[in-house]
Amino acid sequence: MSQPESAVEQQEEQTVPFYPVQFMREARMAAVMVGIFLVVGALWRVVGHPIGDPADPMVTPQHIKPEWYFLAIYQLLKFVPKTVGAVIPIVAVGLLFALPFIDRRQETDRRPARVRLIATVLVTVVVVAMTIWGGM
Amino acid sequence: MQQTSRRAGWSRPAALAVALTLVAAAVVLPGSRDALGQAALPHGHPTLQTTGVVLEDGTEATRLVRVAAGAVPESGQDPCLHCHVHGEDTAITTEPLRWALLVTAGMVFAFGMFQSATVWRTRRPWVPLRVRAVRWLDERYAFTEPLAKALGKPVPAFAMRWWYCLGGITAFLFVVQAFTGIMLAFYYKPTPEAAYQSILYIQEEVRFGGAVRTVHQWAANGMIVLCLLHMVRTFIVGAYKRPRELNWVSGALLLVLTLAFGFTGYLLPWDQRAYWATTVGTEIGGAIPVIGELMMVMMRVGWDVGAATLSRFYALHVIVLPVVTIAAMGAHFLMVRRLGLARPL
Repeated sequence: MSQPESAVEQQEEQTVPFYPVQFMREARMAAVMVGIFLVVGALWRVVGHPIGDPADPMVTPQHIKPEWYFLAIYQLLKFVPKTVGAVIPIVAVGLLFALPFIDRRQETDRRPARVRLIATVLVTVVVVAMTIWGGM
Repeated sequence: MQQTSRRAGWSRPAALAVALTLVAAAVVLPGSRDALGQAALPHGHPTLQTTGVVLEDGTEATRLVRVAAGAVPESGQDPCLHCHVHGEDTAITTEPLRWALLVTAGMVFAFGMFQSATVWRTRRPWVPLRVRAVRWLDERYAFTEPLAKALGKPVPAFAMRWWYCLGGITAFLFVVQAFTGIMLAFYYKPTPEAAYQSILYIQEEVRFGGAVRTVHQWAANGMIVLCLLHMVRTFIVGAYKRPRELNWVSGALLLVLTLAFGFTGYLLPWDQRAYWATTVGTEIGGAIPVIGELMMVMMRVGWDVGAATLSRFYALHVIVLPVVTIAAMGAHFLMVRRLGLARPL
C-alpha cells in the first residue's frame, strides 16, 4: 500500500502474541462463563424456566407467547397484515446478509462509524421497546 | 544439574507416600462386598409413576411421584434413608473406584521403580515424561513447529478491548450447549407420549438433571444475546467491508442458525407453551407469499403440529443444525485468522 514506511513499522509494533496474551484472556472469559453457569445450575429451581402443563392440541391457552427474541416481530404482527408481517423479517434478514455488498465504500475517517453507532442505538431502542411491549 | 537431582530426590519419597496412601485407602475403604445384591434387600428401589393431582384452584395437573416398591422396612421410616443410612445399599461405583485406586497406586509405584532403575543404569538425569511424549509425537507428526507458529501469531493490541471478545464468548457458549445438550439427549425421548415425562424425569431424578437443563436454557439465550452484540460491534466498527464480506455473511448465517436452534429447541419439552408457540410460529412462516405454505407443511410434516413435527424438530436440533453450525463456525474462524481484525480508524 501507499502508507509511509514509518507508519507501517509503528503498526507492526502494536501487537501481542496470540499465546499466551489473547489465549489467556479468552480462557479467563470462558472461566467467568463457567462460574456464572455453576451459580445458575445451583439455583436452577429459582432461575429455571419451569415446564408447564403437557401439550394438548384440543385446548388453546389464553395467552400464546413466542420466545423473547421473536416478541418484537410478534408485536409487529398485531398492527400490520399477516403477509406483510411475515415478509418484513425475511427482507430484513436478506438485507443483513447483503450489507457488505450494499455498503462498499472504503472509509477514511470516523464519520460513518458515528452514523452507524447512532443508527444502531435508534434501532435497538425501537426493538427493545417492541419486545417489552410484546411481552406485556 | 543440582536442581534436577534435588527434585528427583523429593519426587520419589513423595510418589511412594502417595502410593502407600492410595493402597491404604483402597484396602480400608468401608462398604460391604455384596453391594450389588438387589435381591438381598427387603424391598426394591422406589420407582416413578405419574398421577393426576388436583391443584388448589381446582385445575388438574400431572405430577411425577415416587412410589416405594415392595414392603416399607419399618413404619415411619423413609425407605431411602433405610438403605443409604444403614449401609445396605452401596453405590454401583464403589467397586470400580476401589480398583481404580489400587491400579493407580500400582502404577505410581511401578513408575517410581522404573525411574530409579533408569537413572541408576544410564547415569543420566531423568527426562520428564511430558518431554518424551512430545519428542515421540513430533518424530511422527512434526507438529511443534506449526503449533508454535500458530500460537505465536501476532494479534493487534487493540483487540484486547473488551468488545473484541464477544465472538469468542459466543463460540464458548456453543461448546457449553453441545456439552449440556448431549447430556440431555441421553435421557430425552422425542415422542409426544414420552417427551414431557422424560423432561420431568431429567429434572427430578437424573443427578444434576435440572441444573443441566437450566444451564442449557440460559446458555441458549446468552448465545443469542452475545451473537447480536458481536454483530452490533462488527457493524459499528465497519469490519464487514472488503475484504471481509464473506465473514459477515457467515456470521449472519450463524445468527440465523442460532435462532433456528432456539425455535426447534423450544418445542422439545412438549408442554402447552411449546406446542402453541410452535403452532403460531410455523403459522406466521406459512403467511409468507408463494413459499410460505410449502415451508409450513415441511416444518410441521403435515398440516398440524404432531408426532412427526417433534421428530423432525429433534433431528434438526441435534443433528442438522449442529453440523451446519460447526461448518459455518469453521469458515468464520478461518477467515478471521486469514484476514486478521479490521483496524479501527
